[in-house]
Amino acid sequence: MKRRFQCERLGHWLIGCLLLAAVQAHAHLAGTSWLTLHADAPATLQFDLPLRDLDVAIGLDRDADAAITWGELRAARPALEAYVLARLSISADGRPCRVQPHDLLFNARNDGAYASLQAGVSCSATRTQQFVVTSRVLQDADSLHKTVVTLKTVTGAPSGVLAGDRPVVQLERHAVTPWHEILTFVQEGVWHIWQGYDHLLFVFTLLLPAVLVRCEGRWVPISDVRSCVRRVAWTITAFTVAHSLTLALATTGLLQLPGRLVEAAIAASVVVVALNNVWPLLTRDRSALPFVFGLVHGCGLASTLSDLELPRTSLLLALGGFNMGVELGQMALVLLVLPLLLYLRHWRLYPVATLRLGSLLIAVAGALWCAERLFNLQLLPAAA
Amino acid sequence: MARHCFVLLLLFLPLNLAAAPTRPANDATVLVVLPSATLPAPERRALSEAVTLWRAAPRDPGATDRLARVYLQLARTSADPRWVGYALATLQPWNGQDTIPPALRLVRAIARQAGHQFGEARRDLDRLLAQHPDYAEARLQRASLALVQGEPQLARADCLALLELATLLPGLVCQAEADAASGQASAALARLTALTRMPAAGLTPELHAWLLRTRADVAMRLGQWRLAEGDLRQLLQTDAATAATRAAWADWLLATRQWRDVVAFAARWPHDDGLLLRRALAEQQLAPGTATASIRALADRFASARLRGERLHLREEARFVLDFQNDPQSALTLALANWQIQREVEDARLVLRCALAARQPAAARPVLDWMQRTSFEDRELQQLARRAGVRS
Repeated sequence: MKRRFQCERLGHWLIGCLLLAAVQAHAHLAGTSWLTLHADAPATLQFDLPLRDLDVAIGLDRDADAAITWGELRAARPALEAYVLARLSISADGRPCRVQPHDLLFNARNDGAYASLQAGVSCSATRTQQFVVTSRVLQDADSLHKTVVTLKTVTGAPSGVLAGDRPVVQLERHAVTPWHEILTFVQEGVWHIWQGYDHLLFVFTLLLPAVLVRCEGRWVPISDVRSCVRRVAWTITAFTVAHSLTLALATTGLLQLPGRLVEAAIAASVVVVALNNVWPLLTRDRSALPFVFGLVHGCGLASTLSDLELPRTSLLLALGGFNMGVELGQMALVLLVLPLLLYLRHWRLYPVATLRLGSLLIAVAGALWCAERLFNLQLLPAAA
Repeated sequence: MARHCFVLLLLFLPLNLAAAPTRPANDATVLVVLPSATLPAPERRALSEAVTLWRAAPRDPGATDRLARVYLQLARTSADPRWVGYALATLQPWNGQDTIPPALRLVRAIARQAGHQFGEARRDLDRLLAQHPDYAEARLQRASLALVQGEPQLARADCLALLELATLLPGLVCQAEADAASGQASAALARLTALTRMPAAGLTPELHAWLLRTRADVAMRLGQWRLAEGDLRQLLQTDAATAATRAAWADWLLATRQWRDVVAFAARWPHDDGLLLRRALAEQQLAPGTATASIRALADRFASARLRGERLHLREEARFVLDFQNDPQSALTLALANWQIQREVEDARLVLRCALAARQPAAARPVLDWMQRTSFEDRELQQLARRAGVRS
């Protein structure tokens, strides 16, 4: 036994050992796959798997040219799906879910090239509180492989890491207080209204004449700022009440109107108020116009919430929060714009330049939007 | 400026890491070029042959040994831990059983050490040497493990045993390395110098490279830059393929403040991530604020690593946080966590630098105690220790 293990390999491997010990420059990332589970609405998952490790595990490089092409990946799709399904299991609240792959894509993440498996996840539990994910995917090819699992819900994205010695991870939906859930929807509302150029433009157009009064057939800057503010408040309130009404009706499904027509009507509403600024025919009751069109706008806002497919209990919280968010967003716009307009109202050219010309331009824009939405065209550069 | 950029980058990081998948239009679109494509032809051939043999017989110890060693060789040259993972995967059939053949147990120990699983590696080596006390490779591996963990006395014991077993040279170099880490650096350097003067016929290329690396390392710790330079230049000519050689050269350039050369050198090896941090450090010295691309790449790496719960990059991350994020407190935490895992000279330096920057010299006590216990010699380390208030 004495000199048995001394062979020519000794010299070769002696250095290997010591130098290997000195390899500390592990700046490269070890192999990682990324599993994202979207828990809300029909649950889906996206599983991003590094291509080079997949090649080691199931063999992707058919022509052995050390490059993986899209065609090679597509050809390997059945093998890939079988490989993953045999090593991945998900359960919701203790009951097993079925993973049904429906697509395979490519994802060039910044840390490498990945195959992106898209799958539906059907679980028997509804409104799952806890997911348990077990995965041994790619650990048979790379012992140091880890999978980062993220659970995406409306109220948060808890995540965990699966590794060889810890192949199971448990993810809970955030234990969310109603307050926190409301806040989330408030944020959604604000974000949504600030993205809705047509809504914002409508409110803006309503504000334009608010700092003037009609006096002997001419526009004159209003003298009493307080009464101006009160008028604006009434106008906006009327608009708000109206769109809250239809938002509630539309979200709960009690009122259903075709989306395309609603969008076109919203654009048309912008045209009408803009034109009304130029030729004031409908100024009788300041609240009527905003109210009527508010009804229309509310239907448009409802599409966001209905997409989420929330169950009844969350719906009221969502509605309340979302609506509040929309109001806050609107109020922000008013607080920004109104002081500016009040400042500008004494400018000699305000009635002509800002009010008339501005409103005409807005009317044109609104008309173009209306045409786009009715006839499915693309007239304006920025899709509205 | 760099800090602000970094904060901004942090805001964008979550967006960066999650990307949208696409469907390429063309079947011929190349999605990725595999690492084997960048290998020289002999290595690529060796890899594919080893893979083919192994696929035919995954439980054959010979085939597994061969493939695992090819993977580990690739890990050495590329500093890419993926290869280490592949090597460990080939050994999986023997996990949890005691029937693993000795050769495979050794390879597993090497792979575990490369993957920073030092506890498991030591267990494998202890078991192996208990059963086969004359296994020279295992002795050497255990000695190197002890040095990585900052236990030069343990290493010396294995080196002495090695002297009795193997040809003289490996044992002497091993012993010199252990001595250099335990208070006899000058004497060790003299012995290593004597060894380099031996006729080249007695030295295999690998042995020669090891000798040069060790001498360069000790010379740098004693502040003898010229000596180290000669060795490293020689090494670069013969062994530039090894990531550790490149890292050592970059470190020498940094230590002698040749920033431009660091950047130029790193640019020649764009796939070597280990040089990225050194490049960023050099760029920052040349003109603060120009290192943004490198910093962003590094920040991405560390963010991904953190998501994985990784501990492989603690040393680099601590250095990154200290030198680029100006956050000595977090850097200190990272450096101390790194110290629990590995204890080489750079790890010790980091703890001291972070402790001094965070104005908490007391936090460096574990390192100072270790320095006293082992009488470790390193000029920079000793300077830092003096600043921390304790003579070592």
